[in-house]
Amino acid sequence: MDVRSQISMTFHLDKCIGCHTCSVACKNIWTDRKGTEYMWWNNVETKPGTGFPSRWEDQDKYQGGWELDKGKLRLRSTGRKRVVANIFHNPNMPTMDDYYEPWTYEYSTLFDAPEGHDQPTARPISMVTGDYIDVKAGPNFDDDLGGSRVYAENDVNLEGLPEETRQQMFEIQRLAFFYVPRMCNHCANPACVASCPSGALYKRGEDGIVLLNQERCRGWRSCVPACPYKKVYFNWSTGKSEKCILCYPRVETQQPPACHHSCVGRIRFLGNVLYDADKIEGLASLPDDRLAEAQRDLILDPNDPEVIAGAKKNGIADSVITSAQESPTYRFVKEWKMGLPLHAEFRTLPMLFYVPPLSPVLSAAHHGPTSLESDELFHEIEDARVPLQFMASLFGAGNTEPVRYALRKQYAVRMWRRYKTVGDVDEETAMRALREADCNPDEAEDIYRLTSLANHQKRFVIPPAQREMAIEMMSGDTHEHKGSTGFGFRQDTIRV
Amino acid sequence: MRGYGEIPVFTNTSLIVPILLLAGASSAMAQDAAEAQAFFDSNCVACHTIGGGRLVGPDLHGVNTRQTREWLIDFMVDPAKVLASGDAYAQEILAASNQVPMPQLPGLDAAMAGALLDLIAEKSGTPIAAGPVEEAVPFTAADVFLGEELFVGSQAFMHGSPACISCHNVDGVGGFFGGGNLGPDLTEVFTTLNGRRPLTAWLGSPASDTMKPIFADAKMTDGEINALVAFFDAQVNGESAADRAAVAGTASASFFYSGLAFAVLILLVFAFLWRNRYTATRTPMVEASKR
Repeated sequence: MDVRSQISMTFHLDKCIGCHTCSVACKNIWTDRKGTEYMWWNNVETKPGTGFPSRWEDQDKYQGGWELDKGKLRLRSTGRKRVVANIFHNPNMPTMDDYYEPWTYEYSTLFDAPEGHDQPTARPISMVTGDYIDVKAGPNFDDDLGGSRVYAENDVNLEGLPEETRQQMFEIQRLAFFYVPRMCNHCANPACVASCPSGALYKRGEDGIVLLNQERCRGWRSCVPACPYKKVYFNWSTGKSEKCILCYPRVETQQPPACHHSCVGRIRFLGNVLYDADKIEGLASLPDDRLAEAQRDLILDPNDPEVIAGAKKNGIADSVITSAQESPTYRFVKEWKMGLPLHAEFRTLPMLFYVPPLSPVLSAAHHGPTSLESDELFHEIEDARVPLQFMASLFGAGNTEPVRYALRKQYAVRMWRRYKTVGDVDEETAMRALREADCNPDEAEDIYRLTSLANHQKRFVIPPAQREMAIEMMSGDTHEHKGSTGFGFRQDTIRV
Repeated sequence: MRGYGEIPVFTNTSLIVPILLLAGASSAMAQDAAEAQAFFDSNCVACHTIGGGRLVGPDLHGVNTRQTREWLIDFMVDPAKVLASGDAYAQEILAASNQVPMPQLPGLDAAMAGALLDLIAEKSGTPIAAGPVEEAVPFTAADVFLGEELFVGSQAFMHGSPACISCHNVDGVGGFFGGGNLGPDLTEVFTTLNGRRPLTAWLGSPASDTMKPIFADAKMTDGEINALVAFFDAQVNGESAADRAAVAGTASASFFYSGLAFAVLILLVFAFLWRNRYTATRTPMVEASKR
């Protein structure tokens, strides 16, 4: 057992309202620079939809992540031979068409325009050519277009679905969509790190944050195709790649990342978990249908004395272990089994988990007022507007079981709370729902409290960074970094 | 070629310095003479003798009487400039040397040119030795064969000099790609450099800017030079000379066209390997939905 600590996130999709505040917060802090115009370290996608970059889940095109080759894990995008063959050009890179042509607006017209009959408008200007453009694509052009022929129907997750189910999804009165905010998953088995020929990408030992060393990056761009989530971006100005840094300067000072902090739906939870690094390869090599559930086996019980002893042996501080014991991610993912990894079939063991959303209740208009389709107060999971299979493609690596379990539990908690607070569900029905969902009243209360009532401190349990210990270990001189919070490019990243 | 050793030659400067300190001004002359002799031996002998007959360049015996000292110094320091000025005597020398111009030699400044002229003048004082001329051993087929092997590099030079073919071409040698284009074509070098003795002398101490530094520490042996000269001789006077003339220039032409074909092939291969590089995702998706 090789116990390590990892800062791990949980996104409760049932709470996401798709406001993009997270994306904007991130953009304003990190990617509002020359060369990063098109980057969205955090973005919010509508599902069904094609996402950003377009159809990023289609690994036949982008060749991201790992695949099993005779039982061994192998990067799809590169390898010893292909590094040489593709040394000058990587054929699986997303193009500008797959991202979008970044633009700004000619704001000056609003002030300079000569007096006329009409209000002056700020026309969009391409940030690539500087010419006026007709904006045809953007990072969220599938936003709220859950039924669109362009975006929704091209969702990669629809591919395994029977034609009938697909048709149903786009029926006018059944139509439903939900949001999936995405950012770097800070994977336990990161493909980007494995692909980098310069060794610039690394997974930080103390908290598992995957970082890209700007001083070592040589711009090979192997990481861009290798990341199946397309969350490493190439900065054309510095000639180096960049990615989400999980706001580590904030995390090191016990503040949640900006996207987490700004989330108005409070869907985001963050806390460290202890995991067993020895299990990574074995778990990542399992058959597809077991991947989503098996990833829980990676996470260790932080209250188990054996795990605590292992953690201490590896130099994990007591405060970090305590923090892991209070981690909301541990509860959602391991205790309640509600949190699931996005596209576990990419085999990178993403350490960002999603609680799958329940769909809106079914209703239909029958020559008059709209009425509920079902007698049940909440729809049955099997009858959900968004088919279970579609959810399973996203969160279960094709296996519906873990998704059904997570949704059932949410359903049971709703019934339970309805019984407690409104009273239109009787105790027997509520208890039956709990039993069917492998839940009990205490657990339901806990889930309800963490989901709905948790305050800032409960949602974000950030372990102390212990920078002083790291510095002591590295150089022995704690005064070396006195007065700094650990952040700052020591060298300019401008290409020379 | 160093048969003119009447004057002691000091090539070791560590010896020269204490002698200079002890002997004063008269030894300064001796030191100049010694340096000039050393320079002559490592540079001039490739093309010139003093009283030994014409090689590539003229015999320098009595050269100080043929032109003024100023003219000679100017010519030695920068031959190209004097030739370019259209000087009649310079043109005459050039014509007599099969249009092989004298190279500009590094280290040959006005002072050294003066010292060399002094040396030549002194040596010209002694009459031309009338000793018996050494009879050259005729080339054998084995010499020619060894020469070709050395030229193409299948036989390595003893002191590690690079194979000639890496910079030079001889028509019909070296197979499909022929020889290099960096140095001059050597097909007719035997004629250009005036035959066996001059060519042998030249190869013993190559004087051109490019070859000098390469061959300074990697001298060819007499046997190797003999074989190479035999090989060059065969190119001009050998039985296959006529055949060679027929293929003159084809090697460089085929090299050019095969290079072109290869470049096109490489482009095609990469165009195929990377055929999907500009395939967009979004545009086709949008276009398809309009149909």
